Amino acid sequence: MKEIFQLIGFILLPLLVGGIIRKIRSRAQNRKGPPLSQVLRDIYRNLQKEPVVSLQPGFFIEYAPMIAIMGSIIAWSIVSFEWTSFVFIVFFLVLERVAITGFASENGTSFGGMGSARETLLSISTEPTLLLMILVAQSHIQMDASITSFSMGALFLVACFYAVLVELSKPPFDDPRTHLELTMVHEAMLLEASGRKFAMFEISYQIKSATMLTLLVKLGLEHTKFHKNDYLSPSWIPFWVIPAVLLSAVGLGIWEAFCARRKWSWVPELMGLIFLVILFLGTLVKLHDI
Amino acid sequence: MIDINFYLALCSVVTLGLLLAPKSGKYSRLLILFQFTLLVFAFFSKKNFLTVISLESLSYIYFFLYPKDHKDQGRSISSFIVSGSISAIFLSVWIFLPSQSIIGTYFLAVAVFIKSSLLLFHFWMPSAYENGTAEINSFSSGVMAIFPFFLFLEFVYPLWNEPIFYLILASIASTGVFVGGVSSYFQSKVSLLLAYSSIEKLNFLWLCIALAGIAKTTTDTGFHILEKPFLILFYFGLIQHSISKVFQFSLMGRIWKSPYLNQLNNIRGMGRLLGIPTALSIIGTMSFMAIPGTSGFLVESMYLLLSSQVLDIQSGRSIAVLPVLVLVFTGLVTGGVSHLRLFYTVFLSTVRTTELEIKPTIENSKYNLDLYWLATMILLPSLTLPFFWNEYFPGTTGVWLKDAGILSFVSLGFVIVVMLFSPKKKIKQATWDCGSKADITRTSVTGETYSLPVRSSLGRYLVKSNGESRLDSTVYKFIHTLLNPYWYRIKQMLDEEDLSNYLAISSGGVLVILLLFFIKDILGY
Repeated sequence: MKEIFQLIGFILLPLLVGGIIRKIRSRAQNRKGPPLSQVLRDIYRNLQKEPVVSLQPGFFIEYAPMIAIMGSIIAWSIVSFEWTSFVFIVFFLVLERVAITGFASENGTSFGGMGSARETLLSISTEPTLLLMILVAQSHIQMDASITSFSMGALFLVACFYAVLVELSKPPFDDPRTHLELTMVHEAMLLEASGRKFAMFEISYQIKSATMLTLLVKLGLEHTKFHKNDYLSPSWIPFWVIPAVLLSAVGLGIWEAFCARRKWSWVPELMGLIFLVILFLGTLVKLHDI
Repeated sequence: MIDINFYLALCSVVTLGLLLAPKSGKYSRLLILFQFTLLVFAFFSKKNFLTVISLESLSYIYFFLYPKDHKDQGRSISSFIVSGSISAIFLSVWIFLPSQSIIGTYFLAVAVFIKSSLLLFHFWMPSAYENGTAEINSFSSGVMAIFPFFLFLEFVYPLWNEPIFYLILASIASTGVFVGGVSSYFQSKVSLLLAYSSIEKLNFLWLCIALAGIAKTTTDTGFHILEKPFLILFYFGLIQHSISKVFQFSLMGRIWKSPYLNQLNNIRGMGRLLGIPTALSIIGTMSFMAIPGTSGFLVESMYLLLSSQVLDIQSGRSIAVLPVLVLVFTGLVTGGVSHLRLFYTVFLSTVRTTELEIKPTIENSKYNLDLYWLATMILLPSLTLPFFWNEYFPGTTGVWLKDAGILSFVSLGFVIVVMLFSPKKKIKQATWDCGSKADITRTSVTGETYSLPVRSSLGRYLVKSNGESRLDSTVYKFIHTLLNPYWYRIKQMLDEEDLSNYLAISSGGVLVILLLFFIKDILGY
């Protein structure tokens, strides 16, 4: 039974998460918004088109889209089926990031270079936090049903949510809605991507979105002892993952609608603070555990 | 006997790599081969004195094999020789003391800490690498820096059974990973960037040994069984660091041939002119970025897995792991990204100027033979070692180590298949950014583009705006003040009485040493 839910989640979530976020964002801004399947239609349309590449093609321009997809799929399979340690996820996210930044840099354009530099800044700011988050996910630390534990767990999840926002290039760290290359990060890197290559990057991004939200949900569900009855027992966790991820996609859509992008100098400061919060909370939980 | 076999294999691999280097002549190759054979023999037969002598002579042979291209190299060679000499003094004390003497191990420990740049003993390394040639630096960082670890594991580690030693070592080493990684990221010179990266990696190796030592001395059984895994992790790390760093130096050494070309911004995009395939030139960077398929992936993933094991232990000591993780994660990430910054600026950015032409070498594949060899050595460990060494890891960690091997196979296999079988069609070329008729060479990206945004939040505490390390410059200043008092000040023009003053000071020094001998031997203190 567990495997069936995992398989359903593995196939469905990457198809739905991106569409839900866009739809909810539009609704929250009093707009009708595109249909749920618009993300998939865009990808399909782009897959039909021949790409146009930069004036100086090379390894990354040629192969980065495929490598990015591979990195995302392997990370997604680890999160979905838990077939090996969660620790490996972070390396495949790095692989995906290197593929995209390499693509942007190899094109040799100013916006590509700028986007790639900003992505590197985000990488430095968020990777230690993500590593710490995954280490906690990997450990057997459990929060019991007390108010103290609940507060610490909730704070921990909020801090992790910020790390996920960085990974997914969402506000307040990045905002694709500005439609201005000078302020974007993820889209600035993909300015030179077109046709099939752009579609591949988009597929990789949708899979990554599902991966990060599922990781966050599993972190919350698997490290708590708040389960009161049989329907919330650990054996039912795979069942609850799918609705919880869809719900978190709704939350992310609302967040994206109302949150504005902040200035760059603020990003490393905030991520440093979040890193320390996770560290202190981890230490407190560990002390409590002993 | 894993250590002896390991070193034998490593020596052979690196020696072969060096012998394939295009620059060395027939006689110098023979000399290097002879020295390495002597060194391996010395390790086998446990002749400490022979080891030290061959180690030192090998360093000096290397220094003088390469021509001195510019005057600043004198400073680098002085740093090498001064550090080697200070280290040799401590080594000599250890050699003359009885073999099981604990006091002797303190001297040996200091000697190896200097040689392998543990934080607070590392000050010579940036200065030595700054103006050294790529060949000497690669040899020093990739090969010579690893022998001290052998001496430590062979002669100090078995005798140090107090946890306090290892706790101090872990604290210093984890801070060293942080300091090295962050300092590396903000450097504007290629040589200094690689020097601080070496400091970061060498401190990481010390951290692995320290964690193994803590596990060895603890009474907690859950922690105790992690001693061997941490030692294996150290070996993984040693292989990764030495081969990947030699690769990086060999690669960058093809461009960085003068002080002007040592500046990152002056060589942006020049890697494109070398004609080396990107898939080959990026492998060293990928290893430091811990990308699956490389030995760096194996090392960092294993470190994380073992850390998660330590976190699960119901012991007060395991809490100490969390603060260590803060420093280590930040150091590892910034250290890895500093290589990415280097690669993007030199190999992916557009060429800034055509004033300094580098002759493309794509026609001569023999020129890149050393890179191919080293790249194979970077990739092979992650594909093979997990399947042979997983038995040393307890419980699920052993299974995960195998998984790391499988993931490496899958990642590397996928990239190779995509490269081999993707259709080679002619694709339309255009650039949207700046207009399709814009001169793309004007848009090359500088190294600062990557580092400047994090400078105010992360870099300013450790590095000055010119890239100089605050810690290092403070220590240099202190040493300079200490060694340069009024009566011994370096002068442009000597006075007549200076010679007798210096002789008097030297005589005073000799008298103090004799007095110390007298106190020890005659009075019995």
